[in-house]
Amino acid sequence: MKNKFVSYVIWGVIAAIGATGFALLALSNGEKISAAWIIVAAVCTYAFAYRFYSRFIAKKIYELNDNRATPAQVHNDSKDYVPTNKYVLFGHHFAAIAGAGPLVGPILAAQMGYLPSVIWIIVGAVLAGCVQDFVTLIGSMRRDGKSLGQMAKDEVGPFGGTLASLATLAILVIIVAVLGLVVVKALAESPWGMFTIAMTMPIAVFMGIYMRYIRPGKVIEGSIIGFVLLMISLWAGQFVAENATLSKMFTFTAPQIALMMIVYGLIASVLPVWLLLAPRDYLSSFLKIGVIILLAGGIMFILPELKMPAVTKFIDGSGPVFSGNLFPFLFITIACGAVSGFHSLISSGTTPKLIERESHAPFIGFGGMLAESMVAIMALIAACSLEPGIYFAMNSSPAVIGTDAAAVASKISSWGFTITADQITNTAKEIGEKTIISRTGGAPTLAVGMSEIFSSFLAGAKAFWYHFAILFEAVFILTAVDAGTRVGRFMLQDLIGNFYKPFAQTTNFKYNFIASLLVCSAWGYFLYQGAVDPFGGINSLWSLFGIANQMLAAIALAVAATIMIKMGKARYAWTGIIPFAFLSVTTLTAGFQKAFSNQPSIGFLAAAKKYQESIDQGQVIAPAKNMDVMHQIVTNNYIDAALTIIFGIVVILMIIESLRVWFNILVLKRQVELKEAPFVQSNFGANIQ
Amino acid sequence: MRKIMNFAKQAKASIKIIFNIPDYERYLKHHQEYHPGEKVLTEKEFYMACLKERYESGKINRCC
Repeated sequence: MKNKFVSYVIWGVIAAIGATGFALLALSNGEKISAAWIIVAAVCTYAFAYRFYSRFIAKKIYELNDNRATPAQVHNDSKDYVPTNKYVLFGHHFAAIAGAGPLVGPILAAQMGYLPSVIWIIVGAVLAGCVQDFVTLIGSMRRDGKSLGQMAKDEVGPFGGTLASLATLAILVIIVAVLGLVVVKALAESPWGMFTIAMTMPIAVFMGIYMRYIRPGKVIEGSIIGFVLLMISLWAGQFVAENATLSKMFTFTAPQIALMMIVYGLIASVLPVWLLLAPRDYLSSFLKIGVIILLAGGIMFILPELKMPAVTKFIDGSGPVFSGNLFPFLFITIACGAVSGFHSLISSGTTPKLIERESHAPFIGFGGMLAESMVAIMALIAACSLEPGIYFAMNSSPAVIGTDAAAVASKISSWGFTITADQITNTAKEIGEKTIISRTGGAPTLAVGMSEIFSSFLAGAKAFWYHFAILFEAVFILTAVDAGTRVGRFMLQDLIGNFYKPFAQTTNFKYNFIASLLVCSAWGYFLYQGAVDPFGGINSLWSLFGIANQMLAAIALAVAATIMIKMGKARYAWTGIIPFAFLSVTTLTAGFQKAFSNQPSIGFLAAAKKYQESIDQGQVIAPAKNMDVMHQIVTNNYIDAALTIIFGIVVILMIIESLRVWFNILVLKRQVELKEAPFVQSNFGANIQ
Repeated sequence: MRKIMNFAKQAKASIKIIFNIPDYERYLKHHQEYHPGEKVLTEKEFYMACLKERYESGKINRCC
């Protein structure tokens, strides 16, 4: 009794501190405020949600039970199914879900001020993202580690399964394209960055040979050598940038880099995995976790001041980074840090096969997403602690602000974010780049923010840390491009195999190559389109990605709600239905506006119409420079519109399909079978190594 | 000293799970226990088999 009282008091205090944090952030009223308050608000909310909400779901809905053996106990084979220590598995799960997504989204969304993003990242994570990851993990854990697609097929129906697979393939193509574009934008006109990234390939190949022939299987050893070589090439990069001839050799425009990347993607996807993909994957995983820890440590240590206002005027949809109102566009721009459909694939991937006890699921599923949400918060802090004028100079497209430092400075100052041309050129000089104007895509902004934090927290020049941050993101993304193409190839072969059997043979080089070519052309098309897009590309591509990712999340939540209803827990199914409904409304609204808005800056069809009309009159309108570009803009907008409409249809079909199943169970009282794996009594000790 | 060695060994095994690195020692131990007498893969064969399983099975094992 006494203990319970103490616990109430403690949780009451945590709730009060968290609420104070939110209140201070919301009411800052023009005064500069420390980033500490964001961290306080986030950590208190996370703790509270973890203690109460994750426990509520675990106890009331799923009745997690340590006497029920997990797949790792039942099938323990020391390979795929291994009972794993709770904290180690948390690390494994987090390393798999953390990536570039949660780092980029909040940076783009920062144009609306920090407050809307903070609220969505925290609240969205607790009510949607964590729930999705957690319940998908439990669902898969009780079905021998089945994938989301299989669960959708078993529990909702074959049609639901097809929708889930289709959504997965679509999101894969879009994500590779948009992440590729982030790298292209970061490396364009940057010889230092380009040189270091180019060097990662021979380094990875050397690591691959080392880990296969010289010291077979010694991955950690090989990675340490690779890391040292990488740091040497990072350091050497500055001399490349300073040397006139070398610098010219490594300077490319965005479209050139995009083409290189497509060719690279095609070659990489047919190379043996041990040579390039695997070694670089290890290197990038180590780098990723290291950088995230370093960034969190740096921000905690420095507690920078937030220079961005709490809310800017751009919530009205007129923002230069992306257009569209706060609702729905904030909620699709920040996807991964708040809720990411992609996580449902991870939660139904390797993690459920490694979980040791059912009671570990909240820590890993719910807790893992809380950590991911914290990463998004860190990225937001890094962006909002920059001078807002610098932020807008870096993230606005040249069509909006121009290309000359003086013109850019006066344009941005006219928005109320005072900045001088000197500040812009000095920032570029400090980070060892020719210019920072219109370095869109999020990665360069994050890198500038990180260089500020790391150089004052650790030591070293800003230029070094800037390129370190770019390197980390690019290495990671190139790995995602390579691995994404391979997975896409398999899915495509599987899909086409339904109509033409031989195509499904994944050992046939000819069909493999054709499938790789198709996947590369699919993402390559969007990547190239983004690279030549005079509006910067991110504006259209990132929203397509956000819509696709949230659509997958909606599907995962619909599957989870269906499982809850089938378990006889319909009275608690709101835990899944509320975020499902919210994400459906958001993606449908965003999709509808992107396709049909009559503002050319938002609606794809309106933009196509605007340019088509000018073409008909024989006029070229800025930012297009000639008729070819005009025609290109029209075609791209039609394709983007078509894709958006397809996404909308998938969401609507999923809603109808789920409602049909729910109606059958709840109203028609049809008997349905929950397709769980049979209960096996857990015998602790015997199975756990 | 033994404690430190043990700790280092455990830390290494944990890192291997976190980053999906093939753990040959765990494989050997499992093999001895459950499949004695059957053919054992060499460390190189094991490593290659793990990579094949990880990247060439069409499974998604990472996020954006």
